[in-house]
Amino acid sequence: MSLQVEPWEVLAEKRLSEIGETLLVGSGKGGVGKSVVSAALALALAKKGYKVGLFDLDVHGPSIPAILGIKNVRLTGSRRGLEPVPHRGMKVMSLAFLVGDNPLPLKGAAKTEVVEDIISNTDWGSLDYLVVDLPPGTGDEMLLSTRIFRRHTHRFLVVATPSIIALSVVKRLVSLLRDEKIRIAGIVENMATLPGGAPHPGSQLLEKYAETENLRVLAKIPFDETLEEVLLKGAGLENAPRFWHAVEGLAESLTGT
Amino acid sequence: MHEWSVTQSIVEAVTRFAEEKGLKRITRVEIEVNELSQLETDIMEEAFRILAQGTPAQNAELIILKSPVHFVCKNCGYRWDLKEALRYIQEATSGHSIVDEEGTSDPPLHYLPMLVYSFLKCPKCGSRDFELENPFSVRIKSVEGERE
Repeated sequence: MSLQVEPWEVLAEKRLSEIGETLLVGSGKGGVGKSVVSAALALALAKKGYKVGLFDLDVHGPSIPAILGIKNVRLTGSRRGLEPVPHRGMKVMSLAFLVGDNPLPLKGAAKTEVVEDIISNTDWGSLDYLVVDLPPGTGDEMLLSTRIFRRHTHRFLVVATPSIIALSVVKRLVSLLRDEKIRIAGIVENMATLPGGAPHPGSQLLEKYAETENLRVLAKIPFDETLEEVLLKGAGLENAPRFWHAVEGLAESLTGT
Repeated sequence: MHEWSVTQSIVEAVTRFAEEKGLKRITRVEIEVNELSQLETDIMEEAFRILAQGTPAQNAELIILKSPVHFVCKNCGYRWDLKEALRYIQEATSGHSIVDEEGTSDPPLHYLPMLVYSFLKCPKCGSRDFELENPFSVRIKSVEGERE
């Protein structure tokens, strides 16, 4: 007789049943700031007193440890699986903790195997929120991740920048998410202003699209010149004030607190 | 100790299978483990005996097949096996080991075998553009059971 369910899926489901809600952070393409938004959102939720996990599932370029300034990590394991790394009141897991600075040139089927293995092996324990920095794009590894998480309480945050190029990608992503019955919380507009603070001309395009599609614009995160320096110094994302203020607003709109 | 969580997932998967198919007892479970993960079969057998207690898989025969791995370089065509690969992997993963509660150090590949792409190059030409012939971690090959 053939098995309908794979062992890794059983384990993954068991772990996810201990999580209040999964916030899936994705984008149709790379380079829109998805990982920085994920990291900051997780931190903002942790600062509100929630039990938070931050899951870096970007198989192409795991960058969460670099964003948060987490260095020299030695992962530990137990009979229950891999232990996430405690950081500033939250738990963090990233493929970067396993491979360090080594390249990650994963081939087709290996990409999905890696995603399956890290989801099923990470022992989060009980959490209020798990923020997932998804692989960019809409390939196998992203579809696999959403297929697993959508079986539990979840919301998807579409991160986009205000440009005509990004808009076409957002449209395709939203269409796919709806076909896959994934609950969309709304759009997070990143770099919503020009350097100096003037509104980005493309911002209206994104707003208009959201309105036509009956989607909420959850946050407009302004361009913050201080963010790069904050990341360089490892000073904590709260020290980029305009960026951080908008992310706090995003956390508020998601939790209602 | 990763063997325990892997075995737990197998016990739960076959238990769910028994429920879905109306099987009273599971009599035989055959699983395939990728050689790359270096999971220890004696630990898995012991874990299965303990974890299956009180489930339909209690007393089931567990067959563990180790699936051999081969690598083929897409750049120069060289083909090599795990024995040869381990010479490179052991050195490459030495700073990345994961320590468990009993103090045992395991390479990352023990938990995520496909991360081999991060730690291996072609022994002949040094390219990272190679294929692994069996890209999976653990899978259940067959389950046998009885309805009465």
